[in-house]
Amino acid sequence: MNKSELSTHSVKPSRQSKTLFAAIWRKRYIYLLLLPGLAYFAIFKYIPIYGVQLAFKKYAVNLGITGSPWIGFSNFNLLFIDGDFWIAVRNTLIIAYMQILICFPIPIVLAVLLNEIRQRKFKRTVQTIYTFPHFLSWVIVSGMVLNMLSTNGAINNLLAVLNFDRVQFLTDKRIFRWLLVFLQAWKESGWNCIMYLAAITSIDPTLYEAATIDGANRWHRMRYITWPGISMIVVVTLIMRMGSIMDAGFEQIINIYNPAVYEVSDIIDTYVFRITFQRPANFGLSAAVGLFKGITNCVLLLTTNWICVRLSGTGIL
Amino acid sequence: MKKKQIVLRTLILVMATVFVLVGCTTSATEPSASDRQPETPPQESKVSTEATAPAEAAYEEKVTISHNITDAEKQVDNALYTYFSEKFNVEMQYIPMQFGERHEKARIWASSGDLPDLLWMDLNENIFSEWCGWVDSGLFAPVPSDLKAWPEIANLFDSMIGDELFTRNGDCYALACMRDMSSQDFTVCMNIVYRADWAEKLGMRKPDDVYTWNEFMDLIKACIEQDPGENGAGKTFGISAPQWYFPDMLGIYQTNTYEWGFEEPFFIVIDGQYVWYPTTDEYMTGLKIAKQLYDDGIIWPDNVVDTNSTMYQDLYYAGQMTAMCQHATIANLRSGRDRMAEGFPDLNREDMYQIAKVSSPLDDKFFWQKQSPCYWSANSISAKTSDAQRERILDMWNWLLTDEGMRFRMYGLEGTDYTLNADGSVELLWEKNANGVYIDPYPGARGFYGRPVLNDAEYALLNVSIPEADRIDGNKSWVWDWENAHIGKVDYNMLYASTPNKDTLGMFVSEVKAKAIELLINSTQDSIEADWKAWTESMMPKVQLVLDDLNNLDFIPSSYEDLIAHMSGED
Repeated sequence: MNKSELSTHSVKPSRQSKTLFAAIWRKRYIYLLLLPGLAYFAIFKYIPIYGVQLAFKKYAVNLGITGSPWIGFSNFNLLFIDGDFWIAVRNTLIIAYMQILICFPIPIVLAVLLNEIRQRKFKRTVQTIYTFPHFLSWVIVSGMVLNMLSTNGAINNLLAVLNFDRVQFLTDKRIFRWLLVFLQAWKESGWNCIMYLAAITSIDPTLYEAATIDGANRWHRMRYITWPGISMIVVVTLIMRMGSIMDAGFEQIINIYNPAVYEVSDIIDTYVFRITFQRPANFGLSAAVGLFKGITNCVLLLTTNWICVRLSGTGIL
Repeated sequence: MKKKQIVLRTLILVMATVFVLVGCTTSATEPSASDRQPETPPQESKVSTEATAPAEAAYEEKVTISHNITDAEKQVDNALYTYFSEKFNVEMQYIPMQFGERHEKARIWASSGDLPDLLWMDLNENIFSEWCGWVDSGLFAPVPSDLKAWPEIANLFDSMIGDELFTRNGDCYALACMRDMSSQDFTVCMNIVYRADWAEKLGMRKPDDVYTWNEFMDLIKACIEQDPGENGAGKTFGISAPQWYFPDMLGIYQTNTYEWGFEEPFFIVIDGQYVWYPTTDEYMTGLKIAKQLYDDGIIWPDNVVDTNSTMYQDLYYAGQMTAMCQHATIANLRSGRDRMAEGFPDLNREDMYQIAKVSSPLDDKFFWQKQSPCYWSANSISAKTSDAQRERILDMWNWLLTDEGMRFRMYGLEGTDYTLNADGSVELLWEKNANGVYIDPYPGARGFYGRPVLNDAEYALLNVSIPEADRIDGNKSWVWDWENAHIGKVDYNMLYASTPNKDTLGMFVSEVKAKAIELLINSTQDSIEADWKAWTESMMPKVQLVLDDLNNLDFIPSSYEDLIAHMSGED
């Protein structure tokens, strides 16, 4: 190695770091905007991870999280003999997969269909109507559902007027999961399709023009231009959704469910709520459930990513 | 121009960050006890060793006392608060909370070392063992053992067993909100209120409103079918209940003939051993009866979805419900009747909201009622309070228990809200509404003043602001139960036992209720017994852990008398 090579090796990183720092400094105001986001993740996502140790401890208020005594896997043993826990795991997976199978494709289809509407005013009106439910909280939606679907609610009164039997929408175990999925689709499809609409607008319009000249009809254009154009974002959102599959919708279910349908709708989050707030609180047990949930989510995310990479060559990791 | 924009944006960002940080700090309205007061270990407190002059002495030093309370905004800015704060030279800093979050808030405060100076909690069996842990961790100051300076508190403790429950390592750590029903052994007023005017209209009303089970259910069926309220087809319903009594009050309570009762299906002693009540034949019988009521349309079908216990009353007050399970205290009678009178001013106020006595479905002569724990809630003093704060709390507590304090709490200010006659009777100066009922000038503003004792039965009888008819009917019902009903007793031994598995797993109350409701709706008469047994068996791995703990306790009561003797150290 000669002198000039040596000097290149020694100087290059320094220049790079200088350049990087200079680039950051040049765009310091943009980076400043990043700070609240970073602070959010640090404070609410990373620092609380130290609380995971509670899953292996018996929490004592006077000793704090770090000072409480270790008890090995006792919390997990207690958890795994609890039949309700396994019912909650089963329900979480069933409801989450139902939501993925039904609610995940709807916004994609909706976005593609909205993209085909040519009248701008009509398109915007329809989009507003679809998006609006997203801004209603689940508390409000649950009130509406109760008023409409209870035995003496609007729908049942209508059925009674038409000489049909009243339907126990809210207490029938066969109906309830479908009701949850329907409400989820109604509330969130319009909002979720915005991302796909944005992806569609980024597709080069000349591709459509060329395809039209080549004789492609609407279906062909959707099939061969729009779909490939958004497939990447679809894969990414699918992987992200799989990574949070154990979040089957706490806010929705806690506001709508009732004891008659616990067996089919009690999910891990509602289970944690119950064992924490409707029994003597055992933070160790609740932390054990949280850890179980986190690990399951992580495994599912990695698995889905691996499958996506194998099938389409696209993943997020 | 560009520079200005950058500066402006930076400013906005900085301000937003500052606001967020400020928002995260303790606010002025939610004071931290530790910020204001010097830390004094409980054992060094003068209060615990020396008695000082009670309330009537002038207070030179102004103290601030923080206290968690619902309807916090209604507690200040009124004449009651002005009088009280001047009398005791105290500034109450009320920390707002919702009733439903009382346990969560207490846990957060205890864990973060930010307890109010005087922590209110209902201290029921769900949080009792945690509270014991907080006491053992030194979070609370003990109530002085020598209560000579606070004789009213001493008298209250003497008449109850609450102080024994809250005593740990020889010291009492809670000022309990006692129930005022010690003379009748804390018998409560869990009853069914119903539309006696509808029964009258259908010619089915019974003398003194005493019914057999079948008579009452037939009445409900007749009301649903014949619509005496003229609501229209399908718009009159049967009977409803709040979630805490659903479905238990609709057949399950009334088939419990054991000595032990209480509101929930807990563990009871049979032949010297604790058993899980849901596994008994009696519980199964009760569940089947409730199921029959549901199938017959007598139970309001939407009761199960009324998880916040709001709608069950609304339909009654709207004139669409025939009956509802209710804690029929004198105060509730008054408020219920007032609401009915507002909606239906032309109908008889009392008959629209009358108490029915309904027998057990098993025996026309057997009536059921229950005892409640001797206290309703409790208040613990933070160990971080100063001697002056503790003394002031006890002084206020003591005064609120005097006759003068009770009048202040019930009526308000002497001379303004009432006058005291020479014979000790009270003349109320409140305005009356069109129905001749007094209008409360301080609605919702008495939260703190009602802390020492629940104005439930005996005190309410004396409360002249309540219409006389309500007091007479409430008292009649109370005495009737005491004389005629089987009273299910509270097993304090089981309820407040702290064992490793019970503290972790609880007593399965919510699980039992949820499953009972589920089967009520989704099971059939033929399958309910098998379904229930299958479920209780599936629960046994967990339940057995708690049962083993309970059956290994040093003491298992053979009777209620045995229990009381044990608690008072007489055995």
